[in-house]
Amino acid sequence: MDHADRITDLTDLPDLPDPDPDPGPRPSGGSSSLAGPPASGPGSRDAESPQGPRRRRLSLWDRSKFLLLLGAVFLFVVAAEVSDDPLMTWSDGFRIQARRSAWVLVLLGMEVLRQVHMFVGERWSAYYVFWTERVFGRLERRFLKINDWNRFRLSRAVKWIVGLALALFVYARLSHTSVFDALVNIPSDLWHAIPMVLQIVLLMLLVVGQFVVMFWFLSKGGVETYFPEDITTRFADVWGQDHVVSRVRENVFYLERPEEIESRGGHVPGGILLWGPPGTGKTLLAEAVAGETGKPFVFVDPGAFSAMFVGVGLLKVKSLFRKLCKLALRYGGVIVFFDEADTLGSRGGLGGNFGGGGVGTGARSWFARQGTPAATSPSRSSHPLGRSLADGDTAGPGCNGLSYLSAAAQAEIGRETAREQFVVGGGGGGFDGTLQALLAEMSGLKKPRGFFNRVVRRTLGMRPKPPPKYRILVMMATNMPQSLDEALLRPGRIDRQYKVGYPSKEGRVRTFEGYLAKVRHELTPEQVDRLAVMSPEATGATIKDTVNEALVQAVKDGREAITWQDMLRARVIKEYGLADDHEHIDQERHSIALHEACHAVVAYRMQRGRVIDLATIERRGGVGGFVAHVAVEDRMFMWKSEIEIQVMVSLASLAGERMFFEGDNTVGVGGDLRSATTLVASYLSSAAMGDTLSSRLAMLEQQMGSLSLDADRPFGQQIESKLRELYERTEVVLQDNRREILALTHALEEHKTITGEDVEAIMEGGLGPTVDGRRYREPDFLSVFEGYHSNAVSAHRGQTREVHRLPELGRAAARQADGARQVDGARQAEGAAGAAGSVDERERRESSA
Amino acid sequence: MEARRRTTSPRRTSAYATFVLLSVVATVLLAAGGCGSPSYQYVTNKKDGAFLRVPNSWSHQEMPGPALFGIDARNVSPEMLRGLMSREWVVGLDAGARFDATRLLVPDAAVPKGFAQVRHLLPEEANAVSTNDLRNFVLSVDDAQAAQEQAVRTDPYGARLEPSFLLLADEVVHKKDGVHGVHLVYQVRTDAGLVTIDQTSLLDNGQAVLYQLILACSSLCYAQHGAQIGDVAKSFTIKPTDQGQ
Repeated sequence: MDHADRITDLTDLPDLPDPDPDPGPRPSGGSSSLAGPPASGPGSRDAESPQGPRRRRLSLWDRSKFLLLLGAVFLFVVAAEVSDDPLMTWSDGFRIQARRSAWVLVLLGMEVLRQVHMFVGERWSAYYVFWTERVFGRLERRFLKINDWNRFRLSRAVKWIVGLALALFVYARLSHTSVFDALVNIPSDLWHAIPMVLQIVLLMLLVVGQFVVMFWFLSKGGVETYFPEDITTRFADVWGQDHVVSRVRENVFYLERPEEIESRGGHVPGGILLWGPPGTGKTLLAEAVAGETGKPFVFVDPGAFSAMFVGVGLLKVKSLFRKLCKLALRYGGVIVFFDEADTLGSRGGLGGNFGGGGVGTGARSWFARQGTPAATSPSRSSHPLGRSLADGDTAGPGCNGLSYLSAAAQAEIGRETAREQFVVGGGGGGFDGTLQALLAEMSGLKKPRGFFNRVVRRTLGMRPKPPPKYRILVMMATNMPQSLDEALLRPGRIDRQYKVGYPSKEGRVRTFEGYLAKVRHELTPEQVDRLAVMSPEATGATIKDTVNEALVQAVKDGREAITWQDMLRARVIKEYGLADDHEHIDQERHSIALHEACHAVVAYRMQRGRVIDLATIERRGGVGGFVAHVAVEDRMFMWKSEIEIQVMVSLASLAGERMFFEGDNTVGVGGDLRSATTLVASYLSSAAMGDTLSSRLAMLEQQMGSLSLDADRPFGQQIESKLRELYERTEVVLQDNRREILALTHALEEHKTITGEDVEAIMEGGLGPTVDGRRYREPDFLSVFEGYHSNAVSAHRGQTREVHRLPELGRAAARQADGARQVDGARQAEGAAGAAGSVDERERRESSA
Repeated sequence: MEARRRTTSPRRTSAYATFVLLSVVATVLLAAGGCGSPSYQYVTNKKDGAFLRVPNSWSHQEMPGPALFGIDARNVSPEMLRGLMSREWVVGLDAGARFDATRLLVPDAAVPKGFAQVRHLLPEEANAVSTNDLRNFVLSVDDAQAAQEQAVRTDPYGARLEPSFLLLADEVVHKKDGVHGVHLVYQVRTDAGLVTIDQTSLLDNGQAVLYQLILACSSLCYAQHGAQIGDVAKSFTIKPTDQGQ
């Protein structure tokens, strides 16, 4: 085996490590004269080996591509010669073209020679070095000195010239003329070809144009542009959201004066997300931004990107951003606002960054905590944590966002979270490329602007100018932030996320004052303040609605100005809805009143941070009556003792019924028991409310059922024992407040609906808006009402069928006539059931007796 | 190591084989280009669909209409000039070593000469032309034959011994695509001696385009090259197109 063969054998092995995957000129191990011989052809590189540098072996394609190209050209000209000539034979055509197109064969021969040259260079180091260093080395080095861009332009020009020459040659053969004749004839041929070209273009226009026109029309709409003078809303009109307003102001400031931050090396924030419950003023805030800024404001409708055809949404996004870029350049900046941004859709998997929650807390959990217990429905409002229970979220609020855990521990917990959120997240479209297009437009590559810049300059071999800096501030508003795509919220797109929560008390006062200022009213500042306290979760929209409803009530009564009573009536209607037109039978009315009175008394005596808003025995839907509460403080966490009090409030109905009806109880306590059990079970298993510390919830999530606490003490037994303990405590409270229970029962039976202030008046013996609590402090009240109650119990036993009148209360009777008018008015406002006033009710009872 | 060789060698072998094959093909192409020469020369007019194959030793040249046969355009009447111009395509044929456009139809040519032409007829010509007219495009064949018959009747021996006109072949031709016409071979006495003319005159189906191949040389020459001239005439192929209209 000679030297060359040995080299071949070694380099033939494909598994040998590549000596230099991307070698540049480099000194070889031998003499310095061999240092870095540059490659002499495209794609060829040096391959270092112990025997010296040699050419990197070419792939088969690189070896044969020019041979194939030239062969194909030659075959083409032969075929052009033979085609359509019935006399011509292939062999003669071949021979004729070998003379006529000899240059192709010459090139072919040169390519063969070149390949042979390269083939030898791959195997013979000395040969390779001779050619690369001595022959082409200087030329190559000079060529490498040319600027990259110029070299690129040069090679592009050469390629164009070669390509055009080849095309001209083919055209000449096709038109059976010489190359020069074909070149000369090109203008006239083009001129003659114009009709045919126009026909083809027209045909294409007809075929393609209809789609273009259709999609153009479809891609319009849903986007409105406002200019500063179009909008009169200002930041001053956004009440109760001062912290968000100040942050948004900051962003608008940077949009208008970008140099303030860019001159210091920073960048202008590109996007703001406003999220929060419905009606809290997100859109109003955006409107105020539009009114305050000196830049155009583009409003994108929620459904703007929903389209019948796939791809239209994408076109709309592109069209929108083209418009934004144009406006941004013309006015030095633009704001685009996507209302209800959750319609943009999501690809799922948004992290739980909203509300600062931990495990299982995303925006959903946050909303669960922020749920409006008193505002949504009576059935829920009777539960202190009604909404969160109804949603099945029993994990409770977390703290510190899990930041005290290690990354691995967070990841482990996050898996569960992600699984849950993948199911609840998502929604809307977003899978037809619209969302992706939006993402790309928000932080994708910006292409050079303008046809001249992009095409003409490039055609002339000039570098296109870099794209300008578009200042676009993207604002989005949503009440479902968990439905947004995670990529949308990354820094660079939507940098800042601001929660637009329920307005602060000051904000609510100001909102009430603002809307009341537009109407005539007789409310004192203290009453307005009290309204704000009573409506902790009121938003601008609900306040506006309540004031309007109060005005409706006033107008209905023929008054010009809104009174305190109108406001109260309006609140009841708006908060709890209208009562059914249903009259309880006397026995049931008494038991229901007693049931609700027990709830109210325990709540009044025990609860902290929450006050009774309303107690009623009027039926609304499937609910016979309820006691509603409002939170006077916006708190994030509840204490164990508070949970226990909630359970006691729930158990009060059962304890009361058994206490007053000789151990009997209605099935109406079922709902209360259910909520009590659920509360105890969830907090027992997750918040160390009982004897154990383990989180049963976590065990269930991890499917570690066999490791549950039932092993030594059944979980149900723990719940029962806890409930029993709280039940006994409730009984004590009820026994201590027997008079108050009976007083409330009387008031409820008499008025059917009483406010929290009335409850307070009865409990404290004061004067309420509709009820005078002082009369229940009369000495004869207890004996009279106990008698009434005893009759009711006898009737319940079935011992008597006699129906007794609800007792009137001695000295207070004189005041009753005054109160009756007020109560009657209130009932009328509360709906049909409320229309049956106490006087009417007594009359009816008397007539039936 | 051996295993590696075995697993990698087939791919490498096939690559080499392909490369070698390509190189061989390229070499063959080069060799063919350098060594071979075509068997015939091809006179083609693809635009009008006229094809002719002549021996490789012949020469041919496309000629401008008005300069045909050395006619000075300044002496030609406008009508004639227009007629000449309407001959859109004329190729002179010369079996001689050197192509001489001015001596294409001399009666004493020692080697075959002639021309092929495609002529788009004027509308009035197209309306009037008939297959019989095709016979008389070069020479009024029917008149010449009648005169010869008259001469035979007058002087049977002398006229047969030295005929002024002798029709050697007269056949009606029908080709594909409705191409039709006549093929005549005749001898004519001229001052320079007997000339043999091989005339093929064809019309397309619409009788709008005239295709003609005329080859002529002295009778002695025809005796020597008759077969060659016959081959050329036989190769005269028409594939009518409507591109020339």
